Amino acid sequence: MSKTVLTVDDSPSIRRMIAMTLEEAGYAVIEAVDGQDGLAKALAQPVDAIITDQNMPNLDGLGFIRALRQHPAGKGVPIVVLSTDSAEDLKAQAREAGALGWMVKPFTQDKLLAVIKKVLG
Amino acid sequence: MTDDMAAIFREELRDLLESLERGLLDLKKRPGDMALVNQVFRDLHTVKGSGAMFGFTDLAAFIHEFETVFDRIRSGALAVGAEILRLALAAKDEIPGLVEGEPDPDGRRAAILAGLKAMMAGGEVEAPAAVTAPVAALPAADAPSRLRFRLSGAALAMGARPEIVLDELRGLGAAGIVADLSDVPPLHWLDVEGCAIGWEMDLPAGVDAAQVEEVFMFVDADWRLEPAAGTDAPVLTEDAAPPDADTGPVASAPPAAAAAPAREARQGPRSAFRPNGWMR
Repeated sequence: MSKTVLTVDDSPSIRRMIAMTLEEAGYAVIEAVDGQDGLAKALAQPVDAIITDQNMPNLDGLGFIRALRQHPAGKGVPIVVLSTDSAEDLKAQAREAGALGWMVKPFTQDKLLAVIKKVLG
Repeated sequence: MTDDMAAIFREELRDLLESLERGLLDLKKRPGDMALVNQVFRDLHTVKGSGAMFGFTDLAAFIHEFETVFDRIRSGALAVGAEILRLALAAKDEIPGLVEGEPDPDGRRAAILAGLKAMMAGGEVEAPAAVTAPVAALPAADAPSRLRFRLSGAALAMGARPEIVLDELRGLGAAGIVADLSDVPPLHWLDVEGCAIGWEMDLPAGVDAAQVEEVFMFVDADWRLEPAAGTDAPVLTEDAAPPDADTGPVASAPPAAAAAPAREARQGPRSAFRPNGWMR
């Protein structure tokens, strides 16, 4: 059975690019439009990994991760944060919230696949 | 980028420009409304991020100053004023031309960017950029080495999987992998979310610290690379390898440790890596 990745981003084009790349590689992809939507979808069905943007309306990436890690179903799911910023304080905040890694925009489709493969094995 | 993706981006851009224009016009009426400031910032951030993703690098570079101004407003270093809004609306009008690759013979864009930079210079004084010391070249691993690692207490809860790490290390030629069970507590004390096991293995000549760092990119772990018995190379820790510029773990690295002499490592590893209790 294919592994499922949840992509959380308020940009439809970024979500679509991630979904197309991962689906072509054999992953199932669920899309969420912001942190609130991501939280609802991550708790509604099991996912194997999550890629989330940081700057989003309603609930940003860090808020989403913190909220998800409060739930038993949200523990142990690898989460990678997408950001245009690679500042150390942002990374430290993401780690504190419970993220496993980060990826800077812009990124290539090859880089995205390499990261997902590294996270999911 | 496929034509489909470019079309999706252009459609998204139309929505973003409408939202951006609405936000800027509303700010004229309510300059202190931080929800509007945040919305404008997010719109700009998305235009920049998505533009860069889909190859519109000139657009992304142009938006950068625009976004920075609104980031300064968000932080309170700048206030919304008539000149900022005039420049912002003029900058917004340049975005479609940048996406279509239209030239700027009159230098409008340069003038807008100069105006935005002047706005920032008039606000809080920018701190000088930190000078980063060049990363010293790592010695090539021309001899076999010994690797020991242990996941951090929160690594499993964050989604790290030691079996993936071990598979990658086997791919580098790791042999003689043994598990250190010396820190595994009695069952009634076991932390089900923690990983009490450490691992140790031999790595062949030619595997260097940068390759090991790559393996641990998405794993919150302490690792230590030292010369195999009988060699005289320096010890390298997780701090020694240069990070990937675009991806990486979110763990904040402690200050870089200088490579210790080999003799020190042979005198006895850190308490977390006790050599007793190994089992195959």
